[in-house]
Amino acid sequence: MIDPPSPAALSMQDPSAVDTRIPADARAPGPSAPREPQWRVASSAIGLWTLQEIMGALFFLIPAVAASLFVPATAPRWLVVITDILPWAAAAIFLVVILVVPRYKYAVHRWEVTADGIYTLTGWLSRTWILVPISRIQTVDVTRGPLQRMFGLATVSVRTASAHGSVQIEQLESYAAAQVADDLSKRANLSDDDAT
Amino acid sequence: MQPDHLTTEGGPESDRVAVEVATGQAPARTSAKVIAIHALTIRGLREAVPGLAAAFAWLGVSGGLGSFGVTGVIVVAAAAITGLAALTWYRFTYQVANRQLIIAQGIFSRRVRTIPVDRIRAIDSQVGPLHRVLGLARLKIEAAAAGTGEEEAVIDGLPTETAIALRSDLLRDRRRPSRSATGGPGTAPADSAADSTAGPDPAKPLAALSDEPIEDLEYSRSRPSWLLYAPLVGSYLAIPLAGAGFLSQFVDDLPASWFSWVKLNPSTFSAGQFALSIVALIGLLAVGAVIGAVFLNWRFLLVKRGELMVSERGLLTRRTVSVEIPRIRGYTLSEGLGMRLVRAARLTALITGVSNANSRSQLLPLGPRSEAVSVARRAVRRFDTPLRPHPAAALRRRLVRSVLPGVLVLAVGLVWGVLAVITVGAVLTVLGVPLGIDRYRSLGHASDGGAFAVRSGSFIRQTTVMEQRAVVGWKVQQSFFQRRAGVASVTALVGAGVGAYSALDAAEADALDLAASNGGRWARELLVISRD
Repeated sequence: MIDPPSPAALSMQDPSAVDTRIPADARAPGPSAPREPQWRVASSAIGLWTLQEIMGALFFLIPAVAASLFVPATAPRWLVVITDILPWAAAAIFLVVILVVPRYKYAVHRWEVTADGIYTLTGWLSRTWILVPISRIQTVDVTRGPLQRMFGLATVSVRTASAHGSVQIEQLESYAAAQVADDLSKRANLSDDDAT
Repeated sequence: MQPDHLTTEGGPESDRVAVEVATGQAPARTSAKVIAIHALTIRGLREAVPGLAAAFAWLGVSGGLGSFGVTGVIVVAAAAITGLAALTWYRFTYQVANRQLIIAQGIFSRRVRTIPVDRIRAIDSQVGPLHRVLGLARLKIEAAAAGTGEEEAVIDGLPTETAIALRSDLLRDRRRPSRSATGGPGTAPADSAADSTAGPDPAKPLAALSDEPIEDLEYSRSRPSWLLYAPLVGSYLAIPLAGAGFLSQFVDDLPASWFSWVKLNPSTFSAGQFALSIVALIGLLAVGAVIGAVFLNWRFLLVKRGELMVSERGLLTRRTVSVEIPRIRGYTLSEGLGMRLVRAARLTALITGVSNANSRSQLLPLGPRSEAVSVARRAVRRFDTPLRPHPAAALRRRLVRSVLPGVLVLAVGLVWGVLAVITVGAVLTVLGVPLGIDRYRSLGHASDGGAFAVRSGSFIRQTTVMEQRAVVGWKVQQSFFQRRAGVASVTALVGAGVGAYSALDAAEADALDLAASNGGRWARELLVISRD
């Protein structure tokens, strides 16, 4: 696996530059699975995803803990037992999720801007590959959420004429996202088509 | 030609504007008769409601009304509504100039909308009963507006001849007739996507184009008997239900004496009476569906007129929809469960850049399957490649999905020990088996080099055939269980219809092959790293 190209390389992307990025071992893994896009997302994405998982866990754990504290002793026995066990069981599961999922996602997520298209792979248990040709791009947006900003990350969203046809390259370094968006919108403008 | 959502200034277009300045018209109003329509319909009332409510509130506060006062209020209200309708009419103008349709409207705050004629995708003309009496038509104009996505403009109350003239003006065959004579939409080469936004030859005066006589080529003309299929289609069954729901609001307000003849009391029904009333209800529903279909689809007609696909339908409100043929990228053949029993089907076109696609894109609203297939073949594209079935894992996955709800209900019933729940669960489980098998049998996909097809669904089986050039992206999805079963779902993203068409649970290699071989060079990126 290779790292994303430097901003300079991206900005000068042209078809001939594609070949130079191909490592010898990155051949198609056979016709039974789509090939992997070449570049990983920014490694600080692990931090962001971990933070998001922690927030999701707290969202559930705080009410669960509150429930176990405020359940009256006069409540039915099964309710007391459940509210006592629930926070601990949930915390154990969340701990595993928080430790494993972000790293797993980082291992799976890939993206690539090729000579003709944008190609992404997302998910962890279920995987989704999306390929959109640059000639069919209608708009390119860069968004930075408040959490992303903490980690210096950004998302490039590419929209097509299809209501279901938007692609997101999530968790890129902000500068790389800006470069990619700029590159894509320039190349989309050049194509000789009404993008439908 | 520019992409829809990018800048439109400058370039060759500015030359064309200069040539055509002389051909523009002055702003025109619609027929004043439309005031009557607006004043008589809910529309006029709705606009007047805020003012009237204030007036009534004031009157209510300032004391009661005698019968004289009530008459006065009604007269004033009628005058206000008519006045508003008149003002609305007076302040509405439209104009075609510089290859642009310019619509100005608004009584106090003005809104001027400019629609480049080249961006107009479809025109929908509606002639309701009131319009017909007054000889008027209502045009809905759909355009892909630069930057803001789709927009729809309405010109209400044009005299019929003016409406026809304006419509042919706006949709005047932008591609030269010679091109259309040789190739229908199906045979159009892949690069004609680029042609589809081309303007007319700038050197050619506009007036000359309209003089060419255009001959209609008839694709389909419905028979009244086809309307009898309506009870088998969910959306037509919904018509009498919606009607009944609407009427039931008023039942409580009617005097009870009107219903004194009704001696029935459902709680004392015998089993026979109960069954009879169910049958009667179903019969009523069926009749209502047919009546609804008659109003909507009476004398459906589909013709090719130059570069336009024109459909006409409706009993009281006659609706004419004109769509550019080069925007048609494929079709969907829908067969509901009931329709399949009698070999009926519906056919809709996949049209890029046309919203409200459901009602605009009908190629055959209701008819025999053979007719639908024949219309698809003649009007859109021939597709003869047999569909490839999906692997056995797909059958297993369909069965699990269709049986699982019943099994869950059954399990709950067994835990609770409630016989009724157990029965329902058992019935659902048993019914799930044929459903799953049928859903599996619907699955299939194929490609013929220029187009591809995907099929799915049991309650409504949909076969979609679309040209490769319609694809604006491919999505491959594989869950953990799909990966273990060696299948994947592949979805074509298109800028037409519902936007996404899937082949569910295809064999991995087939799924990839479908995506990689439909969509040009870029689509092969799924398999191999590009080398140019």
